Amino acid sequence: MTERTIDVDYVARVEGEGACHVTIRDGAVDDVQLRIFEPPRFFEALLRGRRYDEAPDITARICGICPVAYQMSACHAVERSLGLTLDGPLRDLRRLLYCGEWIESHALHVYLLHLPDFLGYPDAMALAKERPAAVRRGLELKKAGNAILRTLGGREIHPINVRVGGFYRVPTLEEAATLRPVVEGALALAEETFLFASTLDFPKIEFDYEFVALTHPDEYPMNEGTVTSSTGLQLPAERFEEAFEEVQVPYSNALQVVRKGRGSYLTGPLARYALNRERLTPRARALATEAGLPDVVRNPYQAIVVRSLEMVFACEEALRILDDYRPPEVPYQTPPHPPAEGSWAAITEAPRGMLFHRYRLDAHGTIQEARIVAPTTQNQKRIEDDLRTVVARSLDQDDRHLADACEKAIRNHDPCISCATHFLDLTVDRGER
Amino acid sequence: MSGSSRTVVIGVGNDERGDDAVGLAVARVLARSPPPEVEVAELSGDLTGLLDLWAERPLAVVADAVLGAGPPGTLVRRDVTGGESLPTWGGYSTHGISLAEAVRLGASLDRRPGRLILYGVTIAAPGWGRGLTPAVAHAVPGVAGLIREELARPGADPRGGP
Repeated sequence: MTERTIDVDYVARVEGEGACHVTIRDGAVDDVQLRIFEPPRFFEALLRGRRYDEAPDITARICGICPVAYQMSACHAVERSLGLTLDGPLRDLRRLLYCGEWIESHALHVYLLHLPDFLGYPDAMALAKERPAAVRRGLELKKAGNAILRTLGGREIHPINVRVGGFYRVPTLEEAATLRPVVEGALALAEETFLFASTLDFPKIEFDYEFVALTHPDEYPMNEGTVTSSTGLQLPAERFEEAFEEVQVPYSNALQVVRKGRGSYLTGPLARYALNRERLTPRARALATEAGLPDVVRNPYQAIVVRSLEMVFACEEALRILDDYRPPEVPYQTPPHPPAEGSWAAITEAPRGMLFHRYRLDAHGTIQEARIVAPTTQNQKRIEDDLRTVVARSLDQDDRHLADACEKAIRNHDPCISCATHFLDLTVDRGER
Repeated sequence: MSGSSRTVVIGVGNDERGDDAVGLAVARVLARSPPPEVEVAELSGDLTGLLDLWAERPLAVVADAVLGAGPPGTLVRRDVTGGESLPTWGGYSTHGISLAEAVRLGASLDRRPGRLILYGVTIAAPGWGRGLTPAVAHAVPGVAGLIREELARPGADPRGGP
């Protein structure tokens, strides 16, 4: 028996600390492990005993790039306990805030993380040296996303202006008007980004993904929608755990999520696009058609194109909201009743995919139990499945090239390892029988 | 702010992470009585913002916490005008870039000041919550004083000589 192992000891250009281990036996892939060794961060445990309205700010600290997603999923979950549904300008402002997060997160991933893989540079610093215009474009786009976050959230990282029911303060008309030209400039850059990304050379590979994303009858999903799978599953967000389960693997500090009875699935931009293409703006759809982007993208390397298209959409959506904006009379809605005892859940679409929150509250609104399922935990198993095929196709390559191929395959899905290790599921084996 | 002709001192850090806030503390000491023609700024968020803060300035001085340069409170001064490599803690990620990467990126994109000086105060580790440990807090006035001296030197303005 011949055995060959490929180890990527530290996956670069992803958030957090992870590694990849591949075992090849007798010329075939025997095992693939995406090992997340970033320590658990205990967020679900530290939420216990806290008030329901503290959840948005506490969970926002799980992630520096998608704090809005955590705030939104937490707000929507606990607002269900309060019988509160936001509408009008407050609902729009939440969507605008999410647009800002998508723009800044996607811009950073597209330009600083993913693009060097396609242009043959080791990192974005080398890319900046040879192709400064491209990196400048990425930084300008990110700045526009940051500006939206600062205006609505008070600051660009870990916004502090979101509260259950709305915001502590809403922007004035003048502040909204100041944002408009910034977003307009970003839209032009996003379109350039999309057209440029569409011309990159992609490895010829496709996967038969089960795509899972929110869908909404009227809009491209951000804050609300029905959990929908490309295989036909449809269920309300609060029933997510009926169809999906978290499993533990011995080699990783992060749980893996699988569709019960089926296995891995993919959430994130490719899934959102596949299930919601018709709800993109006409301009974004026309761009996709012009560039020959298929209605369903099954090549994970093309995620860079779909992320770029989502930036176009997010800029257009932000402009629409800014143009329609009339400041609400009050910055937040008052709930009709105190928090009701029970289990309350919601899902919103983080840049990397669906983010599930569930809180069990007692009669006083104190959190008794919290469950948070981040997009990266959902995609982890699917990333391993991708790796199996990528490695099998590249067995003739030397170890260094094979390791490089593995890193690229992981980066396609923009994993956020810090998000994935917020959980605590500790088992102590003392060797006693 | 970009393109200002004034020298800038930028304090970098996070108030919620203990000694990581030492750069901010230094900036706040200087801001109480800023040297003439010097702007004092703080940056707690996305460090790509450094490129806008320091681009085209004659001189930018950055104060930040550093790791591994000696016992807590130890001072490090580096001239990184040419985009010199700095040791960095971990690689850059989807969540942002480090000071070292901002220096390299600024050099590659030609978004840098005439001269870029880093003052680092060594910390044991970023902590939790507000407040500096005594050794690090003790270093703050001294670092602020050294930066004042740096700004007062004739070479502080590259148009005025080395």
